[in-house]
Amino acid sequence: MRLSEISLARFSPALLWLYAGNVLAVGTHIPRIPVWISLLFLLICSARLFYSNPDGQLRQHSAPLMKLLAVTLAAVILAGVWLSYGTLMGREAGISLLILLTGMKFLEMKTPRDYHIAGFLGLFLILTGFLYSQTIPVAVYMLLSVGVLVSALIACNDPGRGLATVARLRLAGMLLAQALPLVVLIFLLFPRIPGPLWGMPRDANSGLSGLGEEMSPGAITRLIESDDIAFRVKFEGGTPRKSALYWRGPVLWTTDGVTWVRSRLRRAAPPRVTLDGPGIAYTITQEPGPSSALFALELPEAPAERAFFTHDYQIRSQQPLDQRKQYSLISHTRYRLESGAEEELGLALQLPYDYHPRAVALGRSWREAGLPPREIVRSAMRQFNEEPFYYTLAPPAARSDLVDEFLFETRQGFCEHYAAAFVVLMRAAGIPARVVTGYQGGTLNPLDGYLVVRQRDAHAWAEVWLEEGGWTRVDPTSAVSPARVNEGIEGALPDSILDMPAGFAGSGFLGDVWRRLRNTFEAIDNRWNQWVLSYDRNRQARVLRGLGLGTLEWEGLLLTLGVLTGLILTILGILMFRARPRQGDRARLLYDRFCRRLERIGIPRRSHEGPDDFARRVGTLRRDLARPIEEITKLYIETRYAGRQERLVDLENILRGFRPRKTAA
Amino acid sequence: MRDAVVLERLPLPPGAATERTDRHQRRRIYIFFTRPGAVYCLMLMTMLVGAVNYNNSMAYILCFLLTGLFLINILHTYRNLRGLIIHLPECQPVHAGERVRIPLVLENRSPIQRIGIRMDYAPEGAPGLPPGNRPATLLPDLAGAGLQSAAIYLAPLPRGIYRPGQFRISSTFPLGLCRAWSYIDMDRECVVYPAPAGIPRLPEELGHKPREQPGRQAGSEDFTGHRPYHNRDPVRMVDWKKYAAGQGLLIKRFSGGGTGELWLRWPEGIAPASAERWLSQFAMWIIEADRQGLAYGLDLHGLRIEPDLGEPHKHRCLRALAAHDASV
Repeated sequence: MRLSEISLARFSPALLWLYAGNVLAVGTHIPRIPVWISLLFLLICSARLFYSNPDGQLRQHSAPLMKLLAVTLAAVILAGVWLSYGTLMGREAGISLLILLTGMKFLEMKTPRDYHIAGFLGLFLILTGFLYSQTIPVAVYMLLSVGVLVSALIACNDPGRGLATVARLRLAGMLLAQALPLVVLIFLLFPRIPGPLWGMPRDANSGLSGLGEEMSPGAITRLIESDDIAFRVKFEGGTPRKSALYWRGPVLWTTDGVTWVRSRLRRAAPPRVTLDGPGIAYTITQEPGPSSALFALELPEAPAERAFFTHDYQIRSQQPLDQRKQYSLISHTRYRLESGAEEELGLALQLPYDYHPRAVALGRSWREAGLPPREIVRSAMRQFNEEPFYYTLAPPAARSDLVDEFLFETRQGFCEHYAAAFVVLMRAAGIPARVVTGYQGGTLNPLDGYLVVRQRDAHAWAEVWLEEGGWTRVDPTSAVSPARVNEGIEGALPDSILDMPAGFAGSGFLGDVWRRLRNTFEAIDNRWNQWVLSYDRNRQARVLRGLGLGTLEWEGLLLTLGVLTGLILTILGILMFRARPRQGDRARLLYDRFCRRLERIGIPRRSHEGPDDFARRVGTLRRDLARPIEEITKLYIETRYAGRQERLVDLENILRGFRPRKTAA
Repeated sequence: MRDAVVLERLPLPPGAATERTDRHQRRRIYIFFTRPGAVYCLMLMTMLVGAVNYNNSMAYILCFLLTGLFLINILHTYRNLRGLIIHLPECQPVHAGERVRIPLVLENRSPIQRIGIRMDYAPEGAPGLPPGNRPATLLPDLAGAGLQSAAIYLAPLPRGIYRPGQFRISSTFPLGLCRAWSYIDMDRECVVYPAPAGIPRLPEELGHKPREQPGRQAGSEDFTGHRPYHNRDPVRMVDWKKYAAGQGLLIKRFSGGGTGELWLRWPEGIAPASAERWLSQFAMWIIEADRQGLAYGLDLHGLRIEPDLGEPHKHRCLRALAAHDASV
């Protein structure tokens, strides 16, 4: 006799739960993958629901036909993925293949082993979803999917269908809940190995937004429209005032009249700096971005770990920033920045040939007037301040020369226009100047004390070389729109761009409510980022130091982990295996006590004896006890089997006086 | 003989400090991962490598969550068997050609449900059942705190007396990643009588003394007393007068005095090849004689059962047939 261990009958619970779990696991990929893959997956899986007979066996077809069908399907899948992605390797194509493989496994499963493998493939698909998003909602969704797949495995191992749906879900929930302490423990203590172990597929970080390495017209404007977070800052002391919050990013030297790019002096040594005033210590958690620039408050003492200074004093990471990165720095807002390389000053005077003639003429005129550099800077700023310049996000599109048109015709522009025009003017006047891009300002979340810097805080300013002061920051935008620097971007822009729903924007009160709600969500999100998503080697080392385990190497960590896991399992085991008194079965409890008293005088109840038989036997053995025993038995049967709970008190009373002795009185 | 097996540990009733355990044989529970469990562990490794490579915290968490589930699952699988008591009642004899039923009574003293437990034949050493007979049974699910009867069915066996030997009781509930198992000695005799076949008419030539008056049962000459009624005693031997007097069902007993007894004697010189047919014929006669209420005796070579009546006697005779060594 072959034992049918698993019921995969049409619409059996095991089949339906596995179906639901696998579809949920694929769910997060559906918006990303080609539509035909989702449809084919659903088709294959749904076919299986109908494909089995009511008795649970697959329909009988000739084996060669089935084999031909499977081979054809596999060929179609491979060809389709190749056509969609141009490759079978890489992350995207790999995941698509995995999805369809899961579908095929689901279609052909016959034995419990197949069933388990199909479930495991679903669990693995959930993991691949995390490569794209790790936010809290995604995590919750994934946890639910895991719960459904665990329920499916339970259904598979419950061939007698002893558990109802609710009981099965409760058991799945209990298993997950009991695993939770282990998850926390292993997550905290499992030694973190700095990845990657091998080269990532090329498509591993496509489509990251953020400040790039170049500045072309509209580049920063596009960022301003984004509400995404660039990085978060936790200051150890107080937060410096907003106007001092210049977050230095890529420094741009060379322009072709349209786009500004970084210097070619890649290998030059970092410059000397003289730092003054108290140091400001802070930790930055930076979101993944397209460049390897790290951002620091002007100016930092030393580069972060696994990062270095360039000759124009920007910090660059040694690895691409394809993941969130956390680093700690100490900055001083009062400083003197020296020139880094010999060629620097020459490079900072170059202008593209035959571009911006009017601006160059204006700059030359200042130099020919014999003004000292400081005065020239001042007159350029006065120009922006006194002439009718406007700070706007939607400047008219340039028709010909970007800088000339902005300076002399439209006079409407954004920080990138002001910074570029200013640097052109300075270079024309013979003052070495360069564009600095980065972020300015940030929003303090009062709930958790983190300063949040968004893409919208992207900014561009200028640095000029002055003999007496070294490289000096000049922010031409502040001459036009002081609010941009003093109050941050939100002061300089209308509400409509601040991602606030229309109803909230008009009213001050609702605007406040909106801001508070957003602060709360972001504080939770930040805690999640800080503690879960950015939990790396450094943070683990800090946690271990806090626990007094700072000296442990990975062997010691694994040992500690093993011991603590064993401890948790032991405690759980004790809780699970401890004999629990039957709840609400007081009558049985009392009757057990009665039986123990009789056992003590040498009359144990035999396992086959019902209460009546037992009473009759004891009655014949001990005539003196027959009466109370008959009464107790009657009361017990009434309370336990006839549901007369009110007689429980009588049973208790009579039992209290029942103290049989070994010999008849 | 101990009539029950307890897995790992006898659960104590609440409040009791100790309980007599001498009626139970205790068996250890073993636990190891199943093949899907091994695949699962491989998948965990792959997940860990992926998490390290992409330095993906949620991948780490998922990997650790599934690791935790695996560990927790061990406890649950173990608990599914722990403290289960299996009572082993006697096996009812059957005739060859019928399915042998090994009855079990499962006792669950804990409040948890026990689910998906199966019994497989796993003899230690020489199997007590012929090859091809490998019973495997899914036991019924057990609700919290209660008794449940179950049975293992063997495929039809040739006549004989079998001691099946060891069974494996196992479960992979809840997740199928681990299997907990233990062994239970079916220290039980499964008696398979020869299938009754042949001529139903009772042999006169084999009888010691042929019946003198058809219709009158043998051994009814001298009334010697009464004995209590047993199930399946011939109805016509009931003393109805006593029953009417309110004394219950009593069977009249007679001293046979050597008259009217039927002796079933194993004929001389039977070829071993036809021995089985003769055994079936004997079984047929025993059943027929019992039905007619005749006292009958059995004389196989080297085994003699004095003529008697009644259910226990019939089973003694049939059992002797089942155990008969036809080669002598």
